[in-house]
Amino acid sequence: MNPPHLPPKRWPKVVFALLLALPMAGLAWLASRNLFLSNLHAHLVSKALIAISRGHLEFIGFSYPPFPFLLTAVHPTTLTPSLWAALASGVLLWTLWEQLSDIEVPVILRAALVLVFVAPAPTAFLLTQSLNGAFSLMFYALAWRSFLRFIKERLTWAGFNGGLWLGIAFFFNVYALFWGILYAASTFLLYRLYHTAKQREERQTVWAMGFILIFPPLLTFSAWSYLSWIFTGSPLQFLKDPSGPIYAFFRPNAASTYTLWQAAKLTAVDLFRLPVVWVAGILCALDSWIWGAVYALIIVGITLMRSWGFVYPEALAQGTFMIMVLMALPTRLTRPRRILLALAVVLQAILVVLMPSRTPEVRAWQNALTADHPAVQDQLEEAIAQQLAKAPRHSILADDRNAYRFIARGHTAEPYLLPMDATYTTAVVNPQEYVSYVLVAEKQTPGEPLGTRYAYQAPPGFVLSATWPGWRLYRRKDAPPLLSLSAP
Amino acid sequence: MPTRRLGEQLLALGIITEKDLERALAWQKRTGERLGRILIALGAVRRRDMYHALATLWGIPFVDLTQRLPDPELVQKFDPERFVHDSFIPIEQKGNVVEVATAEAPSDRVVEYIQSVLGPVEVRFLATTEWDIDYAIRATLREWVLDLATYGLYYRHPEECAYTVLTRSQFIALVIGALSLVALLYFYPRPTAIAINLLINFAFLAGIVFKFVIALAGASAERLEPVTQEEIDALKDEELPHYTILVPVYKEANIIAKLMNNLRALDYPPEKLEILLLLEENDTETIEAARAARPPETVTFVIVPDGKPKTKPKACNVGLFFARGEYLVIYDAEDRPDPDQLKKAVVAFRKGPENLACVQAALNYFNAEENFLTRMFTLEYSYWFDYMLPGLDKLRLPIPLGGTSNHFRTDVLRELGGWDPFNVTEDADLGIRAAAQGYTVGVINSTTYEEANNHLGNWIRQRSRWIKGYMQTVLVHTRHPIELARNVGLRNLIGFIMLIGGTPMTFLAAPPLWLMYAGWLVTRSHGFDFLFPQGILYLSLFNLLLGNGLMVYLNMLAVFKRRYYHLLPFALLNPVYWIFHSIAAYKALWQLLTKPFYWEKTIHGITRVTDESSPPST
Repeated sequence: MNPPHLPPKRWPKVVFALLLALPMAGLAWLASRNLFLSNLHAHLVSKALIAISRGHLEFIGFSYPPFPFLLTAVHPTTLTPSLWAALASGVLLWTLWEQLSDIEVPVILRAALVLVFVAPAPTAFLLTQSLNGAFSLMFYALAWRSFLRFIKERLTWAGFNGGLWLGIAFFFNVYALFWGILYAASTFLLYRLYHTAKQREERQTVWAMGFILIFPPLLTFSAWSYLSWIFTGSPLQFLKDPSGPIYAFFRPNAASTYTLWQAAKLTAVDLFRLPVVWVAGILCALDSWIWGAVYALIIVGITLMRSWGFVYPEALAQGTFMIMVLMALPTRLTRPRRILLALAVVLQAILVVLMPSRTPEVRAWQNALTADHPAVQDQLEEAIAQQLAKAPRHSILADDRNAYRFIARGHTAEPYLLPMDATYTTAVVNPQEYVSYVLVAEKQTPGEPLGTRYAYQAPPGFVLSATWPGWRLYRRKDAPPLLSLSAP
Repeated sequence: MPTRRLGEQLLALGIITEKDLERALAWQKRTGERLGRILIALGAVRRRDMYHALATLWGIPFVDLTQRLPDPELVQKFDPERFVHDSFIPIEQKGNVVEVATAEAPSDRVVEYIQSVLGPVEVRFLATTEWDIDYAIRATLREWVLDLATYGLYYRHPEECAYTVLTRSQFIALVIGALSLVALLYFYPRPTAIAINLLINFAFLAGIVFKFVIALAGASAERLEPVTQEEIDALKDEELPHYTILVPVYKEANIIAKLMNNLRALDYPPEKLEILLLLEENDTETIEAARAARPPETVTFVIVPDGKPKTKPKACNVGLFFARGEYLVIYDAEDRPDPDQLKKAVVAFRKGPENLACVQAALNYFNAEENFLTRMFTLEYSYWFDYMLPGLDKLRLPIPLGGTSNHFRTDVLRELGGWDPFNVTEDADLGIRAAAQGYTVGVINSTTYEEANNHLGNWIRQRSRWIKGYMQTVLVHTRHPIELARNVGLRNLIGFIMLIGGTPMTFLAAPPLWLMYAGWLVTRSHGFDFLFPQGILYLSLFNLLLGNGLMVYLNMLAVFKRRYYHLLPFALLNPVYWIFHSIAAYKALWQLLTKPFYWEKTIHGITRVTDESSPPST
């Protein structure tokens, strides 16, 4: 029967999420003004530009994760991925705010917790300069919130939402699978926490709940593996990309990995920077040992993954820990507990100031935010990219696995003849016949034929036209110089 | 009815005891029902004996209408609906005197009506039972009743009846469409084939999105109880209305005894129940079995006149004609409704909007554990009734009624024209017809347990009938699409097309796609590549990989509300179940062309599950 019900007003929530996204968008704009472009976003923009230029969306058959690429393809400029990331951050912060509000954390403490969540440089970097990371954390938070309601209140829709969020998250980050496994494993523990002894006997219930959470990420993983198999002949090819987060897992000899001890130290450092996580974690664990076990699961999980060659970035790890403990805080904290948490917030804020990020790219981003002028390296890269962009169509032989930053900064892939083009292989052997310029990275990327041949010698009929740190540009003898700058 | 006097009279005649009378009077105090009905419902007195006593009280003779049938010519001068409504029937006219059998105290109103038809005649009353009146109507107006049940809707609203499979304009449109398609395939084979492929894939996608939205809306309303226990407890027996239960049975002699037990379990004052067992005239075996079951006096056998089409809706229309209850519900013979279902329906009607025509209870199965088919069927029904229908209800989209356990306001049902006997899913059709006429259909949180089909052949017969009925319903309600859109609104129209049109379309379109895919997997041929240019390739890949996966995932919802967790792995086997659906869909299409009104009878009572005491929850 149709009960009389009023549709809930959604617009205030949307407006609030947008408001929370604004500071992130501001940070993105500031960095962009100083010509900062993260590696990840450069990758995304270049892939989108190439796909649009060549008119073949099948390109995504080789590009995982697909959604960041598709979102960037909507309007492929260097600022676009950052704006998307800011939007995702808004939703993420709103989710955190809502959850803290649901468990009745006082407004001031709530605001402080949200602020301290975004304050660490790695997190703020991730939320503005990593579309994949921002969306992953957003889905992780949404899924965790739904998961907790599913377990506590047995709300079926919440469980399905949680599973679906994780399923979508897989298209942003392969770690969605890990989270799915983590949630499913946590179900066995947390179900005991919230339900009576009789209900605990319902093993089938717990299995079903766990399965509901793991199914969507498994489905999306299987679907993408199938596509990978269709397009590349190898179902897991998309995970073996050298720039992907688990390349080292598949090729331990080709990339450096951490020992278990090193990985544990890394995780410990990540945790050390987050006093809020210790305090909130202890508060939860004091209520029940089960929470301690769940947190141990994720800490051990991330450590093991790192030791196996998975790149679980600093920012993602910190974000994961923060979301996990803050959202699981007990309802209606007592006054002493609130004070303890507030002290942790202050301590975390101090650590944010005192401890710089260990990631060079994050530090570069921090500099870009605070400096009056763009970094020399960024200025140079921007200038070269703009001039290369003016070259005739398909006149520069290059490999986008290393030339992606020039493509992204130039806002076009038209001048380049790239591995996806049909004539690329023959052009590498005999560039004189096909192109006027050859752009080569001095540091070779595995499997890249261009660098192997021409990193240190000009192709037949070509002369060295320009060099700058890490790069060489050859010019066919009859072609005009392309760059007005000389090598610094 | 003169209460005290009737009781005393029955006591004096030695028909009832003091104890019976006291019990009945106490009962009457609680329910406010007539003493006679209560005594009959309690089994303290036989209907005939009571009316004999009433005849004495009224001071008129008793007449047994099975022995003395009314004059058909005389009867045909009157409106038969008045006979049912006012419980009388004229028997014979001799000169200026008309003898009228009545089951109510003689009244001036009846006299005035008789005189308005026959002129200034003298009316002489004879007492009889309601059962006798109904019997006399069926006996003397057999052809009229048959005609009403079969063609009633067609005479009133021919456009709303599936008697005409295709109207002239539909036929012309179909021929033009088919010819155009052939011409396009001849002159532009490649683009046309691609366009068809695109259309099919897009329809699949739309169907997936639609079902996804509805199911999640249903899931979010999972905790919503349209009727609460407090509301049920607050009901007073004397405020409960009369309720008619229609039970159409055909060739189901083996489950009559079970049916009686199930109906006895209903928590509703028996004297306010009118149970009409609808038996087909030529189904002597079931009629004998029904008699042998010795049902209580509250159960009335209604013999449905034999005639084509021999369908359940036709039987129900006969039942509707004789129904005297304010509300009416249909149960199948093997149904086991929750005991408080009728009360929940009453509450739902009372607190629902004025245009609420019907409430649908959930259906589920007691023999889920029997085999693969019953498990899949249980999953499907749990998904449909526990999530899809509440989702449609929440989003205010038209609800196609399920086969049984749909509760109606009797007057509205009559206004709507009853069931379409030519539509083999008359229930789904009725839900849509109600929506088209501005009525709404709701759902109640009560379940009727049925017997899941456990035999593949039987299952395909049943499913082909349902799918054929969906096709008929689409054809009927799209005869005037603009008018329909104007009546129900664009949103409801889309909902109707997606749900009723999309179901057969999906199952018909799937096999060619599966075959193409299987062919490609085996041969790796590029013969079909031309059908899949870039966009269509992505769309079909999405449907294949994620769309199907999502449908399987949504089906997993089914296990949660009723805690059928052990059925969860079977949701993964849905693709196998879909193949059965497609076989049934092609059979349905064939029958729509060759035998549009043929009712594929589902055989009931073949389950080997003997313990029906509890549903198969974990």
